[in-house]
Amino acid sequence: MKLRRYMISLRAEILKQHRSRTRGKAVFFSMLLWPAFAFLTSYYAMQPYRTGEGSALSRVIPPGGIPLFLLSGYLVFQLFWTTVHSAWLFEQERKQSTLEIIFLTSSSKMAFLFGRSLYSLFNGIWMFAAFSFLTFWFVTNPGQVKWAVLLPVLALIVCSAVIWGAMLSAVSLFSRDSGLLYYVFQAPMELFGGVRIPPSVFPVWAKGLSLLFPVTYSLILVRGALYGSTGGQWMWSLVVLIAADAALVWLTGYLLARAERHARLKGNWSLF
Amino acid sequence: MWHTAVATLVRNQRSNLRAYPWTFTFGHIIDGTYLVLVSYFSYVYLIKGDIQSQFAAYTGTSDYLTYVIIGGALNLFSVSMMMNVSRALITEWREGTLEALLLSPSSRFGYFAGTAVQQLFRSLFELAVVLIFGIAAGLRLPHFDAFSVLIGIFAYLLSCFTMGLLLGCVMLYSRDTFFVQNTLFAFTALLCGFQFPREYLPEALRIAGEVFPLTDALGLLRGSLMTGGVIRFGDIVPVLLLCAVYIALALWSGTRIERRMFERY
Repeated sequence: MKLRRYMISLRAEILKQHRSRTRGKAVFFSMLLWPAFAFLTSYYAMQPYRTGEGSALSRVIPPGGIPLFLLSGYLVFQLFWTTVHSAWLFEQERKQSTLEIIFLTSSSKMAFLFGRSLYSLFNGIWMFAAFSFLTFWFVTNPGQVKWAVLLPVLALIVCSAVIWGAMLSAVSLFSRDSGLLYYVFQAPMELFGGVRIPPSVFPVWAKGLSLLFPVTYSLILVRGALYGSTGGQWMWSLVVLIAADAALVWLTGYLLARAERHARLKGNWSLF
Repeated sequence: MWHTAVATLVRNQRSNLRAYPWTFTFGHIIDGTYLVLVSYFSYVYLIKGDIQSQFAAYTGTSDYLTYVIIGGALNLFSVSMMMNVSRALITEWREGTLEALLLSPSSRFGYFAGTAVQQLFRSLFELAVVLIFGIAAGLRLPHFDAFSVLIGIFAYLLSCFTMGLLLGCVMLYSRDTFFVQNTLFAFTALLCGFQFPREYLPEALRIAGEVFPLTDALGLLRGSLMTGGVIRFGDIVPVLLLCAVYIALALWSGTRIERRMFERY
């Protein structure tokens, strides 16, 4: 019964997002053109590096593996980035004063946060995902890829991205300026998550920072599956990612309760 | 015209200091620092200085790190300046002051000149912060040609300004800033050769890059900074011509768009 009510709220939120965020052809740019261009720019920026036998690069990325390395990086980054997007747009709920209405109804607020994140992900990713898989097909050797590992891993990453986005939305409940998330999470997440440079070569302080982003673990999992190497480090990443997901779900609920109590105590029901 | 320019400068400076939060400035600094850091990390940790010999043949220098750090800093500067210039009119529209501006007999070019000079305070501040990171990361300029650098800076500023003018027209026409500006910046990042010599691009993309005056201006400025290449008059003529075309296009389309601005909705 509880689950059914939760699903109704979730569906309602997804529908609401769909109606308010469909922007016609403009999504083509943010969904496909920008990530594809970012991928190409990074690819050409890596061209001056020496790649042949005995080069420093070939010890980290297998020769000829740069397109696959970058493409997997940008796909995973884009998955997380779309859900950061939903948190970044969270201030609109305040400006349009829909947040108060949602708080006053009896619907599940967790479902509200997850619905936002879920819609943002699927609305934002399908085009780039199609592009990535087509390109994967050309640049990789399908026999080497562990498909039975890759597909469940991708499903896990999708779940992690949704959870991450919902958590950031919950953080946005405390602030009116969620626009800052756009800047705090885009570039640092790309650098420290290891989209262009694998974190294994980082110095210690940067390695420490990279452990804070779920993108890091997700990329280890995806690249491990792509190169067919699933060793000890891979298993660890899997365990950490699942544990982090569970912790983040709990944290989302906790933040939500805190934010609601804060609004009750300090403010009135006009939240902007 | 000068009256308008100075008045716009003073007004924008005041509104910047008093009313606007620093989100854009802060964000640009993060983006610029990211470009510097990603170059540094790639060069020092990923490839440990292992660069193709072809790179020196293309650029005339083997100092990869300085090359990309200058590229990153100038990329940030171009984004910042183009955004500040182009968003001027659409911000007036969003704030409801565009009608008053259109009705007044003030010079439009003076308005943009004032905007451009005022925004230099912000973009130069951002550039300075990123250059501090750049120098810490290994930006070194042992031999540069001071006079050519000045000319290069002039060409670069002019290119950013004229591209900003035309971008502003597109914004006003489409009534959108987010998609228009980021699409342009995706193109300039790939085509202008900020992070890599354009010789690595396929032929078609290399020719496409020539559409922007920024491409040549960047090449000239970086050349004079890094290798002490002297900028001759003949080098700068294509940039100036392209800028003139951009200004002509922007003024021509600008008046047409302004005329229809309040009829469409």
